Amino acid sequence: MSLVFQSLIRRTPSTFIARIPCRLWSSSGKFPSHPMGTEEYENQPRKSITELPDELTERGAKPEFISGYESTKDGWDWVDNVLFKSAIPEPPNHPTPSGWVPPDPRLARQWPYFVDRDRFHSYALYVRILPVMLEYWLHEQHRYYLNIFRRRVEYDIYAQRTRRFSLLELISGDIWALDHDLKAYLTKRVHLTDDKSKELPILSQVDEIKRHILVEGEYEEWIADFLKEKGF
Amino acid sequence: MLRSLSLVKILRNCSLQSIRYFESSTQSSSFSPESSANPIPQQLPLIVSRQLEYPHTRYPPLQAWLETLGQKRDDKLGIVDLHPSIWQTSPRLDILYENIEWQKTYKKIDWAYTPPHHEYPSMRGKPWPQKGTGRARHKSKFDPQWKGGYKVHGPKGPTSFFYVLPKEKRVEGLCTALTVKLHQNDVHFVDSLDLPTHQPTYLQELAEDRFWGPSVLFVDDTDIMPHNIMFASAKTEGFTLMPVYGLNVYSILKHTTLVLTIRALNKIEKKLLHALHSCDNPKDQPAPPDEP
Repeated sequence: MSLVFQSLIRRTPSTFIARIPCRLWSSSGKFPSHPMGTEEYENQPRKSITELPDELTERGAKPEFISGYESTKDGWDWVDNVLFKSAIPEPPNHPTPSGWVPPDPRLARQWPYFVDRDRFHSYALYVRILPVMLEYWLHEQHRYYLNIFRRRVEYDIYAQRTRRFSLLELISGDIWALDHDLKAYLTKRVHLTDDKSKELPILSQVDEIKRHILVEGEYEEWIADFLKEKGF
Repeated sequence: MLRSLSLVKILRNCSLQSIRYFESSTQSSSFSPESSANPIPQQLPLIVSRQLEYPHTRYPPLQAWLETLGQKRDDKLGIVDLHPSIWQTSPRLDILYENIEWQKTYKKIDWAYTPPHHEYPSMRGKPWPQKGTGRARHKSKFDPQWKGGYKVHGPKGPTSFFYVLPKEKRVEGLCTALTVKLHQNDVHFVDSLDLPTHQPTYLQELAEDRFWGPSVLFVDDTDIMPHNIMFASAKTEGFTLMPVYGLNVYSILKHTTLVLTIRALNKIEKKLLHALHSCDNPKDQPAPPDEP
């Protein structure tokens, strides 16, 4: 017996050692509940104190359960199904039940602008919550902050809501024409709903270098309908 | 007299003969880069019809001339198709700037180091007694207010400015740089970098005649270049040879002219299109290995 094991036995109370085999048997008594209770595990030589199981050490050093095993390459398809693939599959050429619509190149060619799809074949349409400097009278230039998802966001104290924007990216061609058409479509849509709470006019910011349009307000669904109409 | 002669030359080179050859040649002859014996192949013009992956929904492929370095006369061999996603992007100048700043900054190491007070010589001993001398009272010679004294929160040790720009920005920067170069008539496509002589004057006069700028960047697909161009560009200031894996935004913009071989173009387009149309997340999966 190794010196380490002898010292361990001396330090642990005798009752604890006697109780080990009883504790590891399952309630039915048919098999040990822990591999430590099996003969083949017990007969293996212990290497060091750090490799002893949880019951005898304070730190959680897990024992190695050594048993017979067999390695096969059958069933690789099930594994392959779960793995991450870098190649993005091509979508179908027809509208899908989820509401996805493929682009119509014939229809899209007639406009002076073009909105491309991203690599996942969806619209480059995003929500933005951006901090904006509120300029009021000098004596009431307070900045009110709200912690939303750990982002400090400006709160519009007069409108009593946070400022949200819709961002449309991947635009090529005449951006100002697209901006004009988009605003016309959204104002028409707002008139149709006849909602007094919606603010008019619809404000937007055009960035010619980054090729995006930022519309104030959450108009993602309406902008998506606009893009579908144009065939982008 | 001279004008008419030059006109005749142009007509002879471009319209009549080329039309005759085009009619005689088959649809699209597959291009063979091995044309060492005869620099110009017999069947002209060649239209290097390349199969472009991920065709763009809106814009058709761009077209550019295919030239040769095998002879001084600027005879065009044919036409090359270019993918609009790479060569016709809306140029993102902000991303271009970020790429250049990254290339300059990620290698930077600031070696400034001011030793703190515990690394200075012995601090014991007042320089002069507290009272009696008419001078100010001091405890040591190396306090911060002294000349040659330690600094409390000075620069400590080598600081690195290393960071890696996101992959999408690097790809977009390359596409923007290539677009900008192409639309400013500074990109030339060449069948291969084979020269008839190793004399640097040949290449210099060729570049002069074709109005290629003072600096030219030759890009080939491998890093083993032919002997002649190696000798010629080694002796010429401003001519740089580069394999595809060394292509970067800073070099593209620094050199006035960019000369790509067809094999380099194929490799660049394949890599950039794969990066633009796939989702390689390095956390889940490592990137595929580079071909030699």
